Amino acid sequence: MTLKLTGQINLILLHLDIETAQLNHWSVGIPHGASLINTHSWNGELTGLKSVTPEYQPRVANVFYSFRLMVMLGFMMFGLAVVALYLRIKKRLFDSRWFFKICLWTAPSGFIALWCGWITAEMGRQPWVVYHLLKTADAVSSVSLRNILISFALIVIVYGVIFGYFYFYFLHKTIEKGPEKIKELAFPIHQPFQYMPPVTTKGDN
Amino acid sequence: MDILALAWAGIIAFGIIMYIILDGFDLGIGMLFPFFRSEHEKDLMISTILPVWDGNETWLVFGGAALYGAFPLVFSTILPILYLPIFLMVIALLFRGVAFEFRLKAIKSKFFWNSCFFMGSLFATLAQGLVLGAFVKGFDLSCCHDGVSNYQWFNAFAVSCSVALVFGYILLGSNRLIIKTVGDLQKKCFAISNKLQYLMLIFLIIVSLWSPYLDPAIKQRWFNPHNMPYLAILPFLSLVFLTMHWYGIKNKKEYLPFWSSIGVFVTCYIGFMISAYPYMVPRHITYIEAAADRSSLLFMLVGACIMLPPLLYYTYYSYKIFKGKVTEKLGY
Repeated sequence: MTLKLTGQINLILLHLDIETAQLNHWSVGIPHGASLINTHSWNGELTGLKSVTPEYQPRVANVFYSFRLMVMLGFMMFGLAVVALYLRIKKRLFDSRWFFKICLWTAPSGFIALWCGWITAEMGRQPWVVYHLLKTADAVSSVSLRNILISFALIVIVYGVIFGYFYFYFLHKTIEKGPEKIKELAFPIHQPFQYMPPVTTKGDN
Repeated sequence: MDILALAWAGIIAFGIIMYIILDGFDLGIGMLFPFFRSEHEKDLMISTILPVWDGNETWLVFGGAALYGAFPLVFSTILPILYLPIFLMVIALLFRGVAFEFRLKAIKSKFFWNSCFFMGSLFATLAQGLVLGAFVKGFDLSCCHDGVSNYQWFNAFAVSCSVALVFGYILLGSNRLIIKTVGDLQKKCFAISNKLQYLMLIFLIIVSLWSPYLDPAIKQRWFNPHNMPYLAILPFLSLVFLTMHWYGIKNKKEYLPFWSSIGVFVTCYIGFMISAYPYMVPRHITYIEAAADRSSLLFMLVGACIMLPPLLYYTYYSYKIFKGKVTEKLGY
């Protein structure tokens, strides 16, 4: 069964109950959005999920939401940068505590977006590890479950507990020390664009 | 096909010996840590390898990636069997890498990072020795299809290879410190190298005499009257290098011990390859059987020809820049 979607394909932002019914019950979309993203043309043609039989389909819900979350975080970070630029031009950037608070709490968004992108890429290509050539189930090597559990536990302990703890310990130490005093800076901080004065050397000309 | 496969076997063999020598001495310096009590001496020891240790470990990545690309069958056969020791090595190297960075910043936790550095170096070496021992002993592939590795890497021979490698690396590290340091630190290293060379000799004799009895094929290769006159050159060379080492230590030469210990490693390594040839998975898969498709080998060979010269050059260049004695703590 091959089904080609032609013409206008809307980019769905939100919808429910995709996996069971294979259709979108409730959705919010951008007209032509998916056509534009995937094929870079207004009425681009996409090969739909229904063109492959269910055993060759990935688990759609994970991919669907991780991709959306990644994009939303991306726009949020971009928005923050725009707000920062606006504040800087208005010469309020270094006094806006509310903005610092937002920056502080959104600090992990880059990591989360990265993970989401990774999940989208890796789960989205299942069940293939090499597309149309090698299935993940056939690519698995003959390592015993016990060995996998040992190595997995070691990774979790080493990264999570030991390095995680010391990473945050040193991070905490650095934050407690705080940034350098503002008055030690050599240039006025509210000047949006500052260039170094040209260096003149004796003996030139 | 055969020439290409042989070329790739040669490139990988070269990458592995580069790794053994280069990372060998910095792992050895890590394992020397408990012999030196003062923090200042430890700082100096770290400073001698700080600019080069990560470059040394690129050869491991190079060897692993080349094996994966050129001999995928070897990679997929051996890695599941040696999964645990290789994993142990990676975790140990990881601890070591982090210890390098955090030790410089640490005040209260310095002891912890010193221990991490030592244990990382020790366990990485032990794991490498187990892998080496398993290779010499050969693999039993009949048991491995159901995903059980049977711990083929853990036996008396592999453990003695492991211990021998620990002593060998410490010897390399100690000889390296003789070149890089002055004063009391250097004097201590002379004393350590002096003792270790005898241990090295003992373990060389044990492993050399043991391995022919593991496998009749190895015995046949080394002791048949046709090969023996030629192959006897190798153990003889090994002894010559050990004598040079002994002479260098006795007369307080700075460069001779390091280079002659490298000579010992190289002759042992060549001996190891002669025992295994033409097998890449000993007694099961030859390098010709294991080779990837001709087009992949050729494609990668072009890449290797482009990448190897810069790799060799930056290795040479970084040693050239950082040559000379280390007398003050480095940091970044």
